[in-house]
Amino acid sequence: MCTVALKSPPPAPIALRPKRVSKALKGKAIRGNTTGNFRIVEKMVETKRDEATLYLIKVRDHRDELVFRKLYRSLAPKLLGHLQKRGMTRDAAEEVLQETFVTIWQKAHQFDPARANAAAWIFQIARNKMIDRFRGDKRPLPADIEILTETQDPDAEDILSLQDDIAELQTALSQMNADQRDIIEKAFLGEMSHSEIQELTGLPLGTIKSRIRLGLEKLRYELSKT
Amino acid sequence: MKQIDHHIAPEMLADYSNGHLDYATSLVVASHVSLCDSCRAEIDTFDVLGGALLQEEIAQEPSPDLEDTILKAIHTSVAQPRVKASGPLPQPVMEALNGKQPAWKSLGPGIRQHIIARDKKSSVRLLYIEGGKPVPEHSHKGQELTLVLQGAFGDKTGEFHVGDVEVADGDLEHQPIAMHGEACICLASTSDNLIFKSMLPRLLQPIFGI
Repeated sequence: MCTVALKSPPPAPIALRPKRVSKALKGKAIRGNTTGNFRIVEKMVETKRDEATLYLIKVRDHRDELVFRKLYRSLAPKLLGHLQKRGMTRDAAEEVLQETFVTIWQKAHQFDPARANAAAWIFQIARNKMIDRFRGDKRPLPADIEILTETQDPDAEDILSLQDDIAELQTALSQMNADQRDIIEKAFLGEMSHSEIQELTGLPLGTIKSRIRLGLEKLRYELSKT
Repeated sequence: MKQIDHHIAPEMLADYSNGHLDYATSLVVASHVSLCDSCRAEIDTFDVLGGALLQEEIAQEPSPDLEDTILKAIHTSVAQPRVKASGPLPQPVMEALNGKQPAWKSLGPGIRQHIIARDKKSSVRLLYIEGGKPVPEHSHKGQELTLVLQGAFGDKTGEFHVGDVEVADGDLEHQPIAMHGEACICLASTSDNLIFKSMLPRLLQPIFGI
């Protein structure tokens, strides 16, 4: 089921209803306050990992259009390739691409590198746009979890650990051939659980899930204190 | 709040993520995920895997003018703010209600409902049950998901508190009863066939009509 074994005990789980989240956040938009972020950003540059995530953090914190263009150039071609592989016409795929990047700009303040890297966050936006287009209904989405940039400072290590795990995942996937990746992709549609995929392939999905969960719990703990 | 004990299976979460579940079931799943960090982490992990697979895709160069078109669009298009959560009702439920409070209709003493959506094959509704009263049966067949948003109910399979979701197929004979104390508010879906229409293709199959 959904329980995961965490390496270290998480802080006491604090369940917070979305209403309290938004209440807690009132008047506390601390975006663009960057002492913490610069440190994270520098570390990431230092270790030369995941350019796209670095760009997205800069877009989030500085609303920098030149960096936004870099982000576009780093991910748009693969995203377009993906959408076309899923069977969209080129025109439709480019429309989804445009909607996706406009949403990235508008929702960048919700990006939390302790819970996702840029590729995952952007993948999810594009996939939802594609599904909406296909279904033509308003598919319900989970509540937003707002982030306080301030709370990320102590979590720099968490962010980097997640980045490490994702880099490991990426390396493993890149060493597979297209057919093997195909199987992973199909399994990812729900025919197999993370633990089965992990057992079969050695991909570090369980660890990634534990880290994301820890990131969520810490975030809710921080929010509950405000 | 108690820890959430009753979750949604990873396979159903994956079907939800990929847009394969019907509206009624999707609303309950999205609402549970809004309250449950462990299921949200499960979904986020699918996205991380999706993002990693994306990096392995064969790139296609977008039309040369698309970048500038997007840069113009970020200045002209305005983001629609999402409807906020209200009391025990999480954001996806309030969105489904268009920001309005439920218009409860009595189903008998101490029991009320508000139907959010209903068609031939599925329905999703809010139920309000005073402590000690039975939760009305909302289906004859198919799959039922019942998510607790306030209070608690119990049946022979266990106790369900805020955030817990009971997934039952039509065969489960059970009579849930709202526990004494605060009134129990649930979001309940029924579905003959969980799968959205039948047209939505699996990954890698061509999407037609777009």
